[in-house]
Amino acid sequence: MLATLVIVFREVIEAGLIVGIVLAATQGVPRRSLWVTYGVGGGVLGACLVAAFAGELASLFEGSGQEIFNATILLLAVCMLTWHNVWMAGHGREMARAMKAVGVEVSAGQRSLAALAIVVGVAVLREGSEVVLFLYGIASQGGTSQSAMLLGGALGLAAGAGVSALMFLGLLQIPAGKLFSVTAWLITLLAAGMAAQAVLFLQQGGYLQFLQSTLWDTSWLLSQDSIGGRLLHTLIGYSDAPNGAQLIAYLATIAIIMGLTRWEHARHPRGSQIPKPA
Amino acid sequence: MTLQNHRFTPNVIHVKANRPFAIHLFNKDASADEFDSSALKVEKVVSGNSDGIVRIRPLAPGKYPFMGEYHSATAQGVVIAQ
Repeated sequence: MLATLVIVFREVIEAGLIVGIVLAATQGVPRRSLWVTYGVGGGVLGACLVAAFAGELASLFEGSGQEIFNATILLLAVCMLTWHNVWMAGHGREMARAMKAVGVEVSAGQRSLAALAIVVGVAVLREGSEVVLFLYGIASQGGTSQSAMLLGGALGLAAGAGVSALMFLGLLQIPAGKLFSVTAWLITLLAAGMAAQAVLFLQQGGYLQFLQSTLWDTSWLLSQDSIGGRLLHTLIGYSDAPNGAQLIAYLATIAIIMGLTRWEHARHPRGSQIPKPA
Repeated sequence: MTLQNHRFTPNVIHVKANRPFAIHLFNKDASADEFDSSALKVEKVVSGNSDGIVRIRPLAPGKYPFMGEYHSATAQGVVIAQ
């Protein structure tokens, strides 16, 4: 039961933090809960499918199908997050105005929401498929009773959701005017961390075989296995022993998002009231 | 390397430092497991009765523990780079 609790807790936190940031970033946008629900639902469904076909997936692309798959969905999320941030730089002001008028439909806002729903979906998909595989492994092994597993899973889910909710409520304490720039930064770092993780998966799959040596090792200070290390890993892409290619991907993602944001911002001078990450 | 009854054989692997290498893992158990090591920076799910290749980056000399994450009570091992 304890093993189930720990694994479910950990994976739920990782997906939950991303959901929390998305919810904070879309504060006040109409129908956002609907889109986030689509994302979570789609992710859960996808996770079961991925787990069911894990064997087939793994044998694709000369045995590196799993790595390619992971890298692809991470890069998809990076693109969606980038797009959201850049889009917000151009349309932030009109959205902020529309939000004040209660009940006003921001039809344009829906497009950015769809992108974020995909981000939520792939986060749940990734962490969820790990949970499904793990639970299946435990169940097929016997020994643990079904009720103990269910209890462990439920407790893990509740605890993970609780921590994510705290993080979300913490974000909401930030004054509305600054919330946009804080979430824009969070999303930028989230995307950069995902890009670095995608590079790691590609290297594991036998691609991008360069600059693979570890640059530095801070596991003595903060291990990536500890809860704090895991939180930072999900939030800002903390790695206790990154390699050169990962660092390049991380910095390049930040530079690209900032560059595009400025460019979009310059195209929409009237949006200048909304802070941007720059 | 083989995983059977949720144990790795061999569970100690010696490799040359500063050179990339790969571990070909045969999972002879019915259930899937994840070859997981934060020290080696890899995670790879291998389904039951199946095999998978775990590619590892060049390592500085040292000891790098790994585990089968879904059965970490018994599935433990270490890579020694020298």
